[in-house]
Amino acid sequence: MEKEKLKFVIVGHIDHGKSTLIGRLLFDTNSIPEGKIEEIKHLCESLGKDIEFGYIMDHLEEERDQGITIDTAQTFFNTKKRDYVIIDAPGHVEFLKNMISGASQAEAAVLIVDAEEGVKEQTKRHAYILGMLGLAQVIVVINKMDLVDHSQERFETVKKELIQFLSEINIKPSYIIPISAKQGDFIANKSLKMDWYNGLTVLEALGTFRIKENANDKPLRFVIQDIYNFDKRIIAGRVESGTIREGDEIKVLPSGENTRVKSVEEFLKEVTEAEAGKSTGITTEDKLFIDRGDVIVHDSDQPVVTDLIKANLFWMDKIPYKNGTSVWFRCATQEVPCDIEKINRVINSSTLELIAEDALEIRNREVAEVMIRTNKPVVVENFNKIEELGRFVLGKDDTIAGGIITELE
Amino acid sequence: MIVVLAIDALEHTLVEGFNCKNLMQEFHGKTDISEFSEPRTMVLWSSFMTGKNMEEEVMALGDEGMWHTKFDIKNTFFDQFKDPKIIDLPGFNYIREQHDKERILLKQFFDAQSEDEKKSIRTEYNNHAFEHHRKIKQEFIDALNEDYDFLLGYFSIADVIGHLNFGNRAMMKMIYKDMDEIAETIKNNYIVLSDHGMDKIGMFGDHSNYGFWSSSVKDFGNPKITDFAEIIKENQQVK
Amino acid sequence: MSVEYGEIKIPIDLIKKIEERVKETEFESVDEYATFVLEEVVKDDDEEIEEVFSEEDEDKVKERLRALGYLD
Ligand SMILES: [Zn+2]
Repeated sequence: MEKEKLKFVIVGHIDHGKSTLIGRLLFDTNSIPEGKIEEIKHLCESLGKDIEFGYIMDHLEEERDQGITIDTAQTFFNTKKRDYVIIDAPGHVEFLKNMISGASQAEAAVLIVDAEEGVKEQTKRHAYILGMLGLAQVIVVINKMDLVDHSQERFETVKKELIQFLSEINIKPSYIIPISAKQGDFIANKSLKMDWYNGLTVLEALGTFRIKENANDKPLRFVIQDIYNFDKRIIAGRVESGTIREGDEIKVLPSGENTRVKSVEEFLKEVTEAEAGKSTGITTEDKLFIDRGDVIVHDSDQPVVTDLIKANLFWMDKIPYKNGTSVWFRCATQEVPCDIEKINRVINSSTLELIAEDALEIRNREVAEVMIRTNKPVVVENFNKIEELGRFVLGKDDTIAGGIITELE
Repeated sequence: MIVVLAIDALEHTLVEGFNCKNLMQEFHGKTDISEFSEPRTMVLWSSFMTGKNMEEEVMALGDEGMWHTKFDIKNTFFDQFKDPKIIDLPGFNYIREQHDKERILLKQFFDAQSEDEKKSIRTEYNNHAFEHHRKIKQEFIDALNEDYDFLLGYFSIADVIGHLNFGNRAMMKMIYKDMDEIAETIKNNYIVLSDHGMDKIGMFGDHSNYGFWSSSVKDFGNPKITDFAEIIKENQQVK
Repeated sequence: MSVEYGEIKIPIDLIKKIEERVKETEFESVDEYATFVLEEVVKDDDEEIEEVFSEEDEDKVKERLRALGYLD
C-alpha cells in the first residue's frame, strides 16, 4: 500500500535557519544520497569549519540542475509513518500563486524564528500569509537555541511575543518547539541540552498532522453542468465531493427545493452511485427547475448560499482592477457577474509588504483581501471545508484572478 | 585602520544572488575595466596599487614573467601609510610558490587525457587552493587585531576554484559565504574590491569584463580600478 | 566508412515482440530497431558524463585562460 503523504512549507525570515532546518530534516531521516554528505563535509573542512547543514539543499539542487537525479522541484523525506514533501517556495510570488490557484497545496506549515533575533517584520509577513491561506496546521520552531545558551527564559520571551502577534491574526500554532537545526536538537531527536522542554520534536509534531481529507469522505456536492431532455430528463454534473446514490434525499441550491434521486445514469453501465471526481448524470423523482451552476447536496450538511463573500485574491492580469468594475465570478460551474465591494488590504506578493488598506485598485501579482458582491446568490463554501467550492476565479474573457474564500456570513 | 578586502574574481551577480550582505555593504556596484584589453589579474591589481593603467608594463614581462611582477612600495599608494600590512597581493608580494603551483596544476589538468586523471588533478588543485585560503584567512583575521594603519588581504580562492568549478554553484556559494563571514569579522570600515568577476562556461569559469566594489561609507558610482588609490587616500584624510 | 558488425543474443520472445512492433514503424528490420534503441541508451550515458567535462567547454575555456596568461 502506498504510504500517506503530507505536504508542508517552511516559512520565516530568510536568515533564521530555514535551509539548515531542511538539511537537518533530510539528514536525520537518512534522505540524502550516499556520498553527498561526505562531499559537503569535505568542502566545509576545506574552508576550515564544521559541516553546515544549510548547504545540503544547495548541493541537492546542483544535482537536479545537472539532471543527474530525476526529481521534481520538491524535496522529499520520510519516516516510518508517512512520506513528507517540503514544498519549495522559490520566491513568494510563485508560492502564493500556486497556493491560491491550487497548483500546489501545502497542508501544514512550519514557521521558523531565530531565538536570538526574535520576531522580525519578515516573520510577521510570512505568518500573515499563512493566515490568509487558511493554513491551520502550524508548528512554530524557535531556532538557534544553541546561540542563547539553550535558555528557557529566552525561549519564553520569544514565544510570548510571537503568540501575541499570531493571536492578532487568528493563528493558533499547534506546537511551539525550541530547536537547534544546526546541532539537531528536537528535530528528529530529543536533547538533554533543553531538559526544561518536554514536548514533541519537529518530526513527532508533523506526525500528528492530518493529511487532506479524502474528497469521498466529505459532504456531497454535485455541481450541475447541463440538463439533457432525452426520453428522460438527465441532470448532468460533477461530483466534487461525497457520494450521490440512488434513493438519496437531496436538496437543490440555491433554490432550496427538495427531491429524491430516482437513478444514477452512466453511459452503457448499470450503476446506483457516483463518487467524488466523477462526471455523471442523475434523474430525479420530481421535475424541479434546475440550471447549470446549481449544486445538489444532502440536507444534513449544506454549503452557504450568499451574495457576499470575503476572499483572498491573487491578481494575475496586467490590467489592474479598478474599484467598481464588474467582472465574472466563476466557482465550479457557477458563473455570475460580481464586483469587488471593498478592497480591505493589498499586499505585494514578492516582498509581502502591505501596500494599502481600503485600497482603490489591485495590480498584477498583488494579493488582496476583498469583499465580493455577486449579482445573485451563489453556492459556496469556506475554502478549508470544501476546497472545490471554496476556490474560484475572476475573469473577463480570460482569468484575471484566482481566489479562496476565507469567511462566509 | 583602513581595511581593503581584495577578492579575486568576485562576481557581482553572485554576491547579490547569494545575498552576501557583508560583501555587499550599503553601497556596491561594478567597476569599469573597459580600458584594459583583457581582464588580466596581474595587470588589474598592479593598476590598482599604482593608480595608473599598468597594462603595457606588465604585459611587456611576457605571459610567464608577468606573474612575478613586483612593484616597489614607493610606486604604490601603500607608501602613504606608516604601518601598512599587505597580504599576498599580486604584483606586490604575491606568494610565488603557491600561485606557480596553481598554474602548473591548471596546465596539467588541461593536458590530461582521461576523465579520471582530470578529476584527480582537479582534486589536488582544489585542495591546494583551499589549504592556502585557510592560511591567508588566519593571517588576515590575526592582522585585524594588530595596530596597522592599513590592511589589505588578498583572497584568490574564488578565482582559483572558479576556473575549474564555477559551474558548481553549490561549491561557489560556500566560498562566497565564507568570504562573507570573513568580511563580517572586520570591525572597521572596509572596502571590498575585485579585479574582475566571473562568467560560467559549462563547469568552468572565465573572467568577466567588470569588477566589483562595495563600501559602507560612500557610493563610488562606476569607478575605474585605478581610482581606488585616490579614494583610499581621501578616506585616510577623513580619518 | 564501413562499420563492423558483431552478434548478440536476445530471447526469441523479445525478438518476436520487436518484429511486431517494427511493422508499425519506419524501421526496416529488428536489427535496425535494436541498434537504434541501444544507441539511444548509450548516448544518454555519454551525455551524463559530458555534463562534467565537456570537450567543447574545455576548448573554449583553454583558449580564454591562454589569453589571460594562465597557460603559457
Ligand atoms: Zn583575477
